[in-house]
Amino acid sequence: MSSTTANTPAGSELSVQQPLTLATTLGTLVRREFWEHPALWRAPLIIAALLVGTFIIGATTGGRHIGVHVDGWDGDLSPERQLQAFAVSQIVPMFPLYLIMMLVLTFYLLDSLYAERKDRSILFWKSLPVSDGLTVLSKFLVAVVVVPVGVLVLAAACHVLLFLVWKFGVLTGRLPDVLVWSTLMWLKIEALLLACLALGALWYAPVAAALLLVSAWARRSPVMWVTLAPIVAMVVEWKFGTHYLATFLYYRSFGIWEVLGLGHGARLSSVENGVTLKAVLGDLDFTAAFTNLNLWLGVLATAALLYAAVRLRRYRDDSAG
Amino acid sequence: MTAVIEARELSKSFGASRALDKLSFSIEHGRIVGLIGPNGAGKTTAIKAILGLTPFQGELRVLGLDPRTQRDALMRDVCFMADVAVLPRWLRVHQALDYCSGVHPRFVRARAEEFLRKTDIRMESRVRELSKGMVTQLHLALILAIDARLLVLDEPTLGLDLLYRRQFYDTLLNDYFDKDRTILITTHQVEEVENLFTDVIFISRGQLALSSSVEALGGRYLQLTVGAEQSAPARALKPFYEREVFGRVAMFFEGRSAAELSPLGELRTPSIADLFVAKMQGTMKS
Repeated sequence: MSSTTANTPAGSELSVQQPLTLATTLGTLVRREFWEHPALWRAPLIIAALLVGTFIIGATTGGRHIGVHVDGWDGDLSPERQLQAFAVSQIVPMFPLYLIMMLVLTFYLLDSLYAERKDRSILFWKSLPVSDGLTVLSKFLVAVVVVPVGVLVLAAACHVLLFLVWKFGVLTGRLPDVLVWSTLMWLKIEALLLACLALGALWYAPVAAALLLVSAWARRSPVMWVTLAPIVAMVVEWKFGTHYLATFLYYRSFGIWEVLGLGHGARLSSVENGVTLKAVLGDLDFTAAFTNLNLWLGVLATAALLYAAVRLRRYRDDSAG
Repeated sequence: MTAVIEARELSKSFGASRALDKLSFSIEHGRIVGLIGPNGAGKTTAIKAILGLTPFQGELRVLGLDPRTQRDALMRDVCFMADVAVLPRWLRVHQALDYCSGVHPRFVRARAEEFLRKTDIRMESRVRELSKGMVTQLHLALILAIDARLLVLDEPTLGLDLLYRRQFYDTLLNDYFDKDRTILITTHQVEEVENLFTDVIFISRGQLALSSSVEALGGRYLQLTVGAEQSAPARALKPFYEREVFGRVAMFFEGRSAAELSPLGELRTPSIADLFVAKMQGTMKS
């Protein structure tokens, strides 16, 4: 090693070096993902814009029919009901945004380690001093942390805008004055949503890691693998009279929300039906959800799946021959 | 002098075919080495082994590191450019600079920008909007800005027109190469770059055919051109390859002295391209 360091040009202009921290490198890798996959930020933004846009049009041109879910709340609302309405208005924009996010992230993860092999740009990425582990980790973090947190912030901004539009509608007399801003409630709901996000990130982490693994492994069309392969497997199973895979997939999709007390969206719809919000917040069993054994087994599986994806990217040589 | 690359008995098989067959060679630092071989000789496999991109058997040290286990550390000091443009098509020029600055501790952004200013490449352009020559220029700009100790180029100018090829190698030689760097190049266009090389390594069917500095080649190999009728005495000295050109015969000798050969005809040091052909044809016959 001493012999190799002796070769470094001393004092020359070439020895200019900038120290790079891990945070800088990881930050650059994350930015790279957004350059390659602009849908990651564009799709949620478009949905948010549509949401706010249609609401503005409705609030300025339409009548009371757009406030269907507040039917029957006209007139005087008790302060508690006003709070409920406010909380509902805060939670509702989450659904379309998270739905589109899940869709975009699925395609993103399937593409992220496949496209670079297909267009051979992997040779460029690998010519730079970034480990396979860090590369795979950056893609995983984009899907499990960066984009979900971004969408949470976007949803919050969306809610504030919708609230302002509603207030404008109230001023022009088109909408009933049933929404009251409550910072305390806002903070409570945001905290709740953040906790749900953390729970969701842990619960879906193995799904994200599995998609990355398929992306690193598939010789062609990772999308086909994750759609056709399970369907074929389920059909075969059905022929034999079992449905383990379907049960497993269903469980991994919704299981933790049932533990939390949000099974089938029951509680959220009950908010709209006028059940007290206190009940909703209180009924959510975060202790049970975060101590769920399958949640943490999933986290272990995530580590194993990511490790496999890293190994595949490290040693795979598609251009052999 | 310490070796930048020390390869001992590298072997690798794809199914039944041996891409590398106990290939041993060593590359000193501060050299420009041409790794030359016919298609399928194992050049790219050898390069992939050096860069830690493919598993193999045998012993290999690159800058004192094992590419199989120390690839991440190795890539701080090694730069490479693969045979065809592999820059992702969606990447914008300024993003390429941002990316390299963000991940490579030895990337000097100003140097890349300076080089790009001399080209028609705009910072906002995407790789897919650039011509093949421009993509290579962009890649070259990135490489020039990285203070690497070993640069590996695998067919870097494949598919480029002559102007770009010339510019590429001129830039490499004038703006990049110095005694502290080592460059390893594979190319099909041997004639064009042979003046660049300080050393050559010929490989054939995964095996070493020749490894020598260019200076030493002159002492070792001679090309004698004789008229067809005087060929018998020359042939008696056992050339390893001969070739007829316009009624004259060019014979290639190894280990004969100039004094021995010069009375027989016109004597010169063979060009690397000719020597390569002679070596490859010669070994195929035997």
